Amino acid sequence: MLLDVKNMSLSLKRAGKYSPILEDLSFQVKQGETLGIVGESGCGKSMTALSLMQLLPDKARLTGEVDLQGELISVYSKRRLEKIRGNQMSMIFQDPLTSLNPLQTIGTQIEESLILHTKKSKEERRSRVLQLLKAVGLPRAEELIDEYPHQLSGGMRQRVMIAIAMACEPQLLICDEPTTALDVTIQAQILELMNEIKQQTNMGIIMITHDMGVVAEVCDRVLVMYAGKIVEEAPVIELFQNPKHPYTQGLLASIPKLGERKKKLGSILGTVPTPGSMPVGCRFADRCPHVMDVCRNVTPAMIRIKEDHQTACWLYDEKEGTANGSAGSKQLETAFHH
Amino acid sequence: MVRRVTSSPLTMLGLFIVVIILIAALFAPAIATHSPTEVDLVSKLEAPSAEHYFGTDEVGRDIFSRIIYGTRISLRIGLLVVLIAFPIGTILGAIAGYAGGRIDQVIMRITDVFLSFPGIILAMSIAAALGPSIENVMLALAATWWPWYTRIVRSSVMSIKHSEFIEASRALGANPFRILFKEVIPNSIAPATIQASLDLGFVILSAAGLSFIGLGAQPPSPEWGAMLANSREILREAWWAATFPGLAILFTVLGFNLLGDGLNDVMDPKQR
Repeated sequence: MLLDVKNMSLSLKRAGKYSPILEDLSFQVKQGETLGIVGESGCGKSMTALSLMQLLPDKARLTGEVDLQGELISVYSKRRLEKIRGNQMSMIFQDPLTSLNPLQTIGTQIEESLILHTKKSKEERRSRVLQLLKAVGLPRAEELIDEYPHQLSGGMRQRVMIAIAMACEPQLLICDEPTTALDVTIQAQILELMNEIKQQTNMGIIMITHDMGVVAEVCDRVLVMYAGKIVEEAPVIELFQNPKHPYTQGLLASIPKLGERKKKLGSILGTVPTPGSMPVGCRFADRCPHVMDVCRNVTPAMIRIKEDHQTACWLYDEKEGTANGSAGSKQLETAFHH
Repeated sequence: MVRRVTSSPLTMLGLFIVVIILIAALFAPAIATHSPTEVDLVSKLEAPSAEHYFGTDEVGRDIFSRIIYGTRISLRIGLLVVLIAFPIGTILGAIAGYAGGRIDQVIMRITDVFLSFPGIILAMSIAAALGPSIENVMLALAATWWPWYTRIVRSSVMSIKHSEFIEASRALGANPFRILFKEVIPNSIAPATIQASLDLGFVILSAAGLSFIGLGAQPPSPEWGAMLANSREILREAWWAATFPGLAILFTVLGFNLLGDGLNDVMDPKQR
């Protein structure tokens, strides 16, 4: 197992008291696998990524175990974590326009992690940088190495970010919405590049996104998060064909489908509850079309529906994933289509 | 950028004045017509003439030559004070802004203490305590000047410290020290640099002020403030003895201010 996260929880101090941001996340990433984490804004996707990297504000309280290749990195000191970040575990950020230092050349910035983590000589570093620029599909590597970020387009900058993240051949790459700031054709190119790199290096990728299209394109397995908790986990095809949690169904129903004429696109009513004012019981209860009494009182546990498909919802029970409530799952699916 | 400097007449005027001052300082022995300190009682208090462009003072020293040599003293004070105050202020401001919390509180309360005195009064008391000399004036001015840079740098650090490229650098495994010097400071130093170019003029003015009240350069040094102080008693007989050092101060400060303002406009795209 490449990454094994057990019971990871995060609280941030706000207005003098700690409020929970992430609760009890457990998941795994295998080598050569892409795990998608989806959910709407504010559900804790990005905080999950930052918690794995332990790049959190000072007033954060992180508990649980994070195991990277058999090393329990959640107990490492700051100094030891600096050796892991960028080396074994890298991160690509959302906005390539602001993620590069405007005052340094492309070459210098890619070289940075080689300086930090390897003992390569200047010439070796330069040839590695050129190799990386070519590997991420950037033309004129020889010239690009001395150019500044503002001279590059958004797609090129995201390729540079990928080159930076790949410089030390990490085993785990965390991507926080890497294509959100790019237009659709460039998005497709970047996703294809990431798939290529994954196949070549056999690293694990965590792909954080709110775009189901991206999920379908690159992910092997998907975690659906809602208000700081995992509500469903399934292989990507299973998730699209057989979504169980009403929230997942809602997310899928809100994607427009080509060739389908609908008066109104499905939407999920209401908003995500804010940390600090989380409802008792299921956090989705207030927005769920199938809410039952039990939902408002008791938090549902993760239930294994199939071997690799889990969800936290009172509508299902352990054995075969049949519906508990009055509504069958077929009806459930249609409930979101107005 | 060069074009934007040249397109502003006021900035060009400032640049022109500053260049003239620099030339005067560099080539003072070649430009000066007389020795700046040589006493010639025969020709004392002479009005401006072809022999003495700006006249002579009460002991017959050539005022033009003294002003030319005086640029060296004033420039040296201005540059050294800024060169001492700027790095101190920048580093402290960057640490305060980037670290935040208690470290920020301690550094900023210390700067508040310094800023709560009027600068010139604090400089006066420091210079008076250390004894009147040019070196002590520089120390005194540097001690009163750094808190301004600390404040400016701190605020610009705070505005960029949550930038993604700094986060990205942390994600690469860079330690805080490296991030501070390679990412944070280079990206937040511009406003303080502009302030520093403006400050050169003000420092020169303050130094002249301290010398005027007798805390700085001592006679027979051709320092402009000290020359002004000397000329007070002979103001009625020899207007030139006070006028020309005064004009020298005026033009120097004006030159640096125009240049600094111009740089400010050029470097800040929002004011274009």
